[in-house]
Amino acid sequence: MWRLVRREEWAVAGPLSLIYFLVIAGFTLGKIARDGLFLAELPAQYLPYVYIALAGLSALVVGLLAKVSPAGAPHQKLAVGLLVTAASLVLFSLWFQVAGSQAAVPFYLWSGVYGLTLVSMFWVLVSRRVDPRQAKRLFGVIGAAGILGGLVAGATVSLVAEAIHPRWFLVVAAGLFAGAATLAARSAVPPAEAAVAPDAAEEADRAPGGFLAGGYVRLLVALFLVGGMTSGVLDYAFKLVLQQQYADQITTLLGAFYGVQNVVALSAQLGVAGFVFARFGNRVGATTLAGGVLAGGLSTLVLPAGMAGAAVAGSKLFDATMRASLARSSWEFLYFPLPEAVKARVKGFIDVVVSRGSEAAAGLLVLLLNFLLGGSIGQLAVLIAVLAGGWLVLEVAASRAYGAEVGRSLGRLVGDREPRKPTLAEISGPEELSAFLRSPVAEEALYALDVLESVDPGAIRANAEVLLRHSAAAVRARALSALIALGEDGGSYEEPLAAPLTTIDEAVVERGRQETAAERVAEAAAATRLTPPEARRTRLRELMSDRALEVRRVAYRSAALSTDRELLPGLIRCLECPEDRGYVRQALVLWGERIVGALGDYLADPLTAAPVRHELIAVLQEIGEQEAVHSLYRACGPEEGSSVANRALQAINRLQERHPTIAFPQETVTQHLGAEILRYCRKLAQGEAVRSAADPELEKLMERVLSERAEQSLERIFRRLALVHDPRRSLLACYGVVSGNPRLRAEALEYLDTTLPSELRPQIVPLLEAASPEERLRAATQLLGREVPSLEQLLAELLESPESWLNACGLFVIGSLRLGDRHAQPQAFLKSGDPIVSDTARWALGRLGGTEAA
Amino acid sequence: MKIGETLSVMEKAILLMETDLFRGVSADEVAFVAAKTVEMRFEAGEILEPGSPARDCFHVVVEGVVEARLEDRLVRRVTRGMGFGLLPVLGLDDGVGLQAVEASHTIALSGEDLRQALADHPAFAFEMIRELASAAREVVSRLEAGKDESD
Repeated sequence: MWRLVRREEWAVAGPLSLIYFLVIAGFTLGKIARDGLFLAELPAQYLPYVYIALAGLSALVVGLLAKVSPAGAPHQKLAVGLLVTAASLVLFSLWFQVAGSQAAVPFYLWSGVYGLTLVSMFWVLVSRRVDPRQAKRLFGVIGAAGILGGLVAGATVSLVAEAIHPRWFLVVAAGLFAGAATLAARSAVPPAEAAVAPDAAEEADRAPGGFLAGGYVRLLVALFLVGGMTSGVLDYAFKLVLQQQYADQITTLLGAFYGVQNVVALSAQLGVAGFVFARFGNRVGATTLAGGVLAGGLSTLVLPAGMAGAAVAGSKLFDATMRASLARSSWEFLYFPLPEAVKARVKGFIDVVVSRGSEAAAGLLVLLLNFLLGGSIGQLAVLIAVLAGGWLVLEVAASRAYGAEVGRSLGRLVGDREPRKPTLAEISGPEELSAFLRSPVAEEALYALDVLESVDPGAIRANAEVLLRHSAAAVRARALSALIALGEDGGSYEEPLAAPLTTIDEAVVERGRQETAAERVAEAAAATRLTPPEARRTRLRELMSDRALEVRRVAYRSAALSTDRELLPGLIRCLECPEDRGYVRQALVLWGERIVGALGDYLADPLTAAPVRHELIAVLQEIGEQEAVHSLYRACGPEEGSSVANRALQAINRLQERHPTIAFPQETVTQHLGAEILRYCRKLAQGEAVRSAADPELEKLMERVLSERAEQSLERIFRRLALVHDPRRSLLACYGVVSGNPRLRAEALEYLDTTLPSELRPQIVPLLEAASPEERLRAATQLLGREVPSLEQLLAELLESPESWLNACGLFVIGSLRLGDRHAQPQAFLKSGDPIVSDTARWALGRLGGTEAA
Repeated sequence: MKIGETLSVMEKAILLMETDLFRGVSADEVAFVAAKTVEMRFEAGEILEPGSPARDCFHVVVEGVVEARLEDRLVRRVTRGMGFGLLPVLGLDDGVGLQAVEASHTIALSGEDLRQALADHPAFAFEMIRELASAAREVVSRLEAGKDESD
């Protein structure tokens, strides 16, 4: 377990462990003094009344603390709590000296409250100082320190009990608490790690039902209530067995029992806690406890009568040991996803009120059982089994809710808000621009048309008649083009167009080639009605390459409306022109789902220019049907590693958000995800291989290239994950993992660790959680099952890559290092279709020729 | 001014990567832009006349020194890895006179290719906006500092 803790983490784990050691040692001393002083002064029959009073007092104190608790950081609250307790113990010690038995009951009640409160405050501090990922490694150590504190205090008391009056233990405990307070005061959360929503507590208070309003918090309350009741009934059954079967050996057996319990708990904490959490997840301790107690209850029922007592004792030992070790740590994880300010209140309420309440409820259940049925061991075993069954169900539900709650917490930390769309009022001057539409000055009207077409198209519609009768032909053409692009029917503008443009009908087309741009716009709009199809096709092709953009944009639209697939390749080619892209895209979207297959073919073809592929992605995203998603996914298969794949996945993720019903083949996506993880590992390993190149400029370039590829691959891992998991939270996790905020990163990793399927978790999590590049590289090579490639292997991988950019990089390495024995390889790339590759091949050959000549 | 190619696309890309404008752009996108550049050479003392082809380009200096002057006042000295000529290419007349004070070698991207690159590579467009915003902020800071001194 020690080896799991990272060197830098000892700076946090050391002081926290020491504080916990002192707190538990002081608590144990106080408990021993309490029992000694109470039993010495008062009969044991008073105890049940004290328990009931304790439950009531606990609720009162927690409520009071919530009202009067000073504002401050958790370390300050713990320090103040420890000092107040230390002072109270000194005062109680004096009271015992002066008044004897009068102080026994008040002290019993006070010790029942402060112990749980201090422990609760301590774990709130721990949850602020340690993120969920560190918790997996550190909780074992911290918990062990607490158990050790209890053992040391118990052993010390047994050595000196004869010589010292119990009230002096209170003074020693006060000293220990004061020491712990000093350490706690120095355990402030570094500002960089503080990620608190300051108004969370106030918001929780204002909500109906206060901080208990949340479903997750209620689930936790139910869980600890039922778990505590089960443990209470089991404790009663254990004591009943002792009384019935071992009446003359109770003290000896109890001594041995607690000794064994502490040793086993300590061993569990030191030996297996860290390993278990890292290997099986942080919830395994608690579910195992509930399952074990259920099995113990059932065993008690089925075993012969003589063995029932042993089954009860075994269950009790298991319960007590797990509660002090693995289960305790498991439960602490459940509080991590709660908002910081709410966390302290929920934890205080559960640790003190629910804990005491569950003891009282268990007592009432036992009394009821005794009253109704007699309360035999068998009946108690049935009750334990029923309660443990409910407890187990609640543990499983809490484990599932924990993953979702971590996702919500991640959203809170990142700022899970929808981007706000600017309103029209925020875009300056649409009213003034509308006035420009009616301007007789052509430049002003054209400017207004340009801006308002995207900002306020309604203004163009409203001024259509004025615009189409404008004295400048350029304005008329632009207005008609805009109106058609806005989806208006050109035919409805026949009347206003009549004078300057004739009409948009066959007559315009039949008249032949039009002279002005405005006339050609009208012709392009009417071209869909031209027959035969060959003539229409020929004319639209001409209009699609017209010199005037106004004409081209209407021609694109008409080509789409004609649904003539012969025009599709030409239309896609027009995407290469940046000025026309927006209009071509609109036309393709208008064409719609009938062409998604063909668009997918162009998109998947590596010979299609990257900017065109990017535009096709935008078109398919806009079309947005299930078929469009399939076409998009063809561009991000497992072999596809370019930025096109990232954009296609990004488009799919956006579509997922818009259309949650879009489905993906789980098995295929998971396979591709596995392949992507291996690709990421390869890029990490290749990045390391280039360090041996001994050429600083080359090394710098290749490091940049390969780290960019690794980053892109990492993004694709999360984008693929989003296809089969909660898309929003998977992408938030991506943001968290790459963010520089350690808390956010830890939350993101915790989310992945709790939600990923078991076959993926061991692959992704160690890679992402690595503390240093060296550790990440080790994890990558381990997953790949091979060492960092040699320069030779790296070159082979680059030159064999389907990505032409990586081929160019491979050729550049050959030329830079003058690897003369690789002369044939640049030769093979001389005729590459990619100009960067062929240029680099020529350059590399030039460099190699120079070497050979030398 | 002479035009002639001696550098490979990759060598040009490496040089472009050194400039702030391309720092956040992926290497393959930089290479894509580099493939569109041409190499220009200027003699020592040569003035880059307004309206000449050289003034319709964004340049990155490979070798040499180019000085930018505003009414005889030196405003910038451009050396290896630094760029000049962005504002005129974007259609803004900065009124700056440019002169190669040493024999200089640049790689130049024409206005049209620059606009194409901006349309094709949003990351490049983003970096350019950032670069221009950073320059504007610097000017504002200088003006404010001057105002404080005069107060």
